[in-house]
Amino acid sequence: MNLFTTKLNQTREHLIHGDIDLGFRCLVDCVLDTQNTNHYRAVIDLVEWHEAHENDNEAYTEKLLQLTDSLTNETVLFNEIPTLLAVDTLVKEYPRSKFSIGPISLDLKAGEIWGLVGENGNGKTSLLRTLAQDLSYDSGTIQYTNELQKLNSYELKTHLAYIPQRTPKWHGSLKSNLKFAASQYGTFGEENELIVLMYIIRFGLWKFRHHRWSELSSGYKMRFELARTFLRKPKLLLLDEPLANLDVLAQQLILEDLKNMGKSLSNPLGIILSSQQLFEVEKVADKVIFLKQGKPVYSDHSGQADVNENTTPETILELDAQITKEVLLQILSVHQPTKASYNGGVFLLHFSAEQHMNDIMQTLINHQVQMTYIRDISKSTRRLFIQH
Amino acid sequence: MKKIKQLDRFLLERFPLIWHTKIVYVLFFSVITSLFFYIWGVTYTTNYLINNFSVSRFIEHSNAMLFLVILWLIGIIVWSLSFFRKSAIRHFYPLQRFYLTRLFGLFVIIFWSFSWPLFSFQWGVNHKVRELAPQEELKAMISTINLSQVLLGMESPSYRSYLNMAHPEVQIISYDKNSESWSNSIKIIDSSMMETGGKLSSPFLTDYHPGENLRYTDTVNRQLIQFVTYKNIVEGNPCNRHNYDYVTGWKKYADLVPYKPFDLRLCKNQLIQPNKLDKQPISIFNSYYFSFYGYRHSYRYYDYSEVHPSREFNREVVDLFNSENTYDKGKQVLDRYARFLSKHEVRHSLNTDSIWSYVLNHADRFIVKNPVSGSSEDPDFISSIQNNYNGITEYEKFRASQDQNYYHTPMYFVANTEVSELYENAAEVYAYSYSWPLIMSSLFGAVALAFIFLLLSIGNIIHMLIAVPIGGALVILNVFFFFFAVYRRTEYGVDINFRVFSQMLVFAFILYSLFFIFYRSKKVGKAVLNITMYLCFVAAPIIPFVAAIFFDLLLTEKATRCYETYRIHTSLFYVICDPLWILLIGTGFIVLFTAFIKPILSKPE
Repeated sequence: MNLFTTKLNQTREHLIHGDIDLGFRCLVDCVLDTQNTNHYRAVIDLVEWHEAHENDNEAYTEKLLQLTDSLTNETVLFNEIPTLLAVDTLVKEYPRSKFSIGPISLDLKAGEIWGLVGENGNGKTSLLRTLAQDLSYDSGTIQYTNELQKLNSYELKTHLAYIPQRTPKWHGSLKSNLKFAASQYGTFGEENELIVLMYIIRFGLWKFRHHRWSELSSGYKMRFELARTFLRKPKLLLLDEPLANLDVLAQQLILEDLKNMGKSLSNPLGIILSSQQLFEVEKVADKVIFLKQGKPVYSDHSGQADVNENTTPETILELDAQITKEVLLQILSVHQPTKASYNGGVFLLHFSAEQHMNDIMQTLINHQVQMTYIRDISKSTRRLFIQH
Repeated sequence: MKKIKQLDRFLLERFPLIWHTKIVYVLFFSVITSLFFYIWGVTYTTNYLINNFSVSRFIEHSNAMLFLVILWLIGIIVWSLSFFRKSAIRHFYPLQRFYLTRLFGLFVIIFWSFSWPLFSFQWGVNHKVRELAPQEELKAMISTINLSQVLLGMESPSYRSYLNMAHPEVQIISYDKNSESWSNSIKIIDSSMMETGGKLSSPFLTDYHPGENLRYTDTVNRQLIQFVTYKNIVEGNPCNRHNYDYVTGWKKYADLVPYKPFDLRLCKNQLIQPNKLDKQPISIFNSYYFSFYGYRHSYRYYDYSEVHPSREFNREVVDLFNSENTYDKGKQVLDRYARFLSKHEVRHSLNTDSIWSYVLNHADRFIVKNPVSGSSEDPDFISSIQNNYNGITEYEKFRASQDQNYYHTPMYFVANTEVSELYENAAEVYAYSYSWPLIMSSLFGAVALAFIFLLLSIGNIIHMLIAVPIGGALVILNVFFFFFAVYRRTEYGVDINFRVFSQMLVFAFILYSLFFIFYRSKKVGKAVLNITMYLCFVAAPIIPFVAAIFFDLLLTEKATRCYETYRIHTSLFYVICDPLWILLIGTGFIVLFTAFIKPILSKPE
């Protein structure tokens, strides 16, 4: 079973189980993978139909399934690119402020997402801009895939899409701007209309396609930027705080979209995104770089930190409860907390690695402690923020 | 509206650059504006304006130029807002090939289209002039107009002007009773020739004293006159020439003026030259050639517009006066003339019967005071004269009795300047084909604006503002070096022009070298690189001309003629003096430079 068939099956399952929105997004990804304008047209027709028959979910699901089935015979080849971006001991210095970033090394493959976290002023944006060839660097190397490496600097930049935290204002309707971007990148005629509508659909902008910049919320502005960037068919997507100003649901949706679209079979791309939303990023990122004073700490999906982290394994909990620190420590004394602190909002509790969150929670429940929030951050880069 | 949306979508999907620059709408706007200006030109043009102002100035008189400038400003602002709000090059890196070159080309077309109303207004004016003043009618009237000048006795005829025209070899030397002296206009004369029949027999030359040759004196109009014929000789070598006039003989007044005194009026010039409207429209190439190559061969193309006496014309007048029914023929001519003046709204006041009778009855008068003024007079004043006097005879009698030093306006007038202006304008309109200088000027303006807007499209406005004083400082530095070169030129003995242009080339070389070094260097900030790029970009269209002049100076030959050194330029010099080549070369180098822009834009900071 090839990857495309797997994606189709997953789509079908989502639809059968009633996850219509998720199923629909997966279906659109599959259609985009086919690069077949007939299927694009079918999706657009379906969306138009759904717009006119919003309440007829049964028929809508049926049509989605039919469309999914129609893709079965499509052949989509996936050429895996071993490494998209290889950075080796990259150092960027700011002699005036005596601040430097790096040495940073990373190996980004197509379809991978890397998270970039760290406190403000630790060099996240500078690192992203350096990788996007916006800023020069002082030492180290940046190697792109062979396909990109042979391009001149201008052509290379067309494939390195950097989206800043504050996206610039645009004028005119959302759709016309997307069409303009698509035509600037060689998508002309009917294909221009279809591909633009496909990305409008994919990023949930259908209802806003005729809206102007001032009529969109921050979340939809970010979605527009993403749609415009995807129309450029980039190889490397560098996002600076894309989740800022977004609500939790919107954050999850955008991250899911990025994850799925990054793994596109027709145009897989590597994504590096910086964010303060650690837990959301960790959910989708294959690897996370924590920047502290410009120095990186790497963490993989399992929370395994790299060798530079000279700390012994421990269980770290973040807790919000209506209780004083003294009472809390007394209750948890059986678990022998090694360290406890209260930053005014939440308690940060350190235990030995043998202590598990479930046991500690059970103790708190037994003592009828009213918990409003508890999270195990032992494997999260969140722990790196609190280590001094 | 639906069609416009379809067009907009078509352009957006297929020609993003054309869609972005809105060139289709700009051209449409320009066409509409041109049409409006054409109609303006047609409706604005009247007989009065044709008779009083040059058609080429109508655009200023009508305030159309002012309106157009305001329209340009509004158009450029609106277009700029529309263009810069969607700058692709600022937001992402457009992949289209020759993107900047094509953008520049579209800018040139857009800005050039803004000048179209200038042409269309003129076409409108020309159309109306053709309608109001048909060429055939004007041509047919030339003879009538010129004859009428004679028949109406306009302007005082003078034997002096006659002699100037009919006998240019005769010098008139008159005796002034008041100052008791001769107006000796021949300065050098060989007195030894006097007795030898005016033949040059000796190189010894002295002043001619008419008082010593009173036997050659004649009396004309109660004034002593000598009519001396003279000849000019040139002596010496080509570098040291001397001109001498020497007397070749004397003439009698009766020999020089063959007709009766009244016929002196026949010496009048023609107000309108018979071939005035015979100029053919010239091709765009010739128009260009005359306009810009003319200065190199001005003697070939100079348009001699001064009026020459026409013997044929004078013969025509003589025939009329010698015919049996002079009165009827003359009356017909004058009536036709009066109708022409009325039709074309030329200001005049004529009673052809009365004037013509008076002129004929006073044909024996030697020098008449002109009974009809050729200038535009105050109509109310003319009316008051006509009311106060019982006909022209009585009024002319009054005029003759008055002190000669005071001018008394004639009883009638024709605004001759208006007739002349009418023909001037008609000649200009019927020979109008293309105004090459206007085309070239508008193209220069369009290229200059396109260049500025290309800079604004790619540039960082702050960096550009910084580049301005830096560029100014470089210019001042160049001027400083220039003065230094002037000051030291005698020491080095080097041609000052050579120094100046070689210095400018060295500056350009340094500037471009820095540009290259900054581009290659990792240490140089993007701002410095950008500023250098702007300076180099601005210098790009100038450098070829500096280089051309430099090489011309290098290759040019110096020659000496009559102790004066002059330069024999190379063809290069003439090429860069030619506006068309200036435009093409300048534009070419701008386009060439656009190749450097993309690498600079994409260079990391």
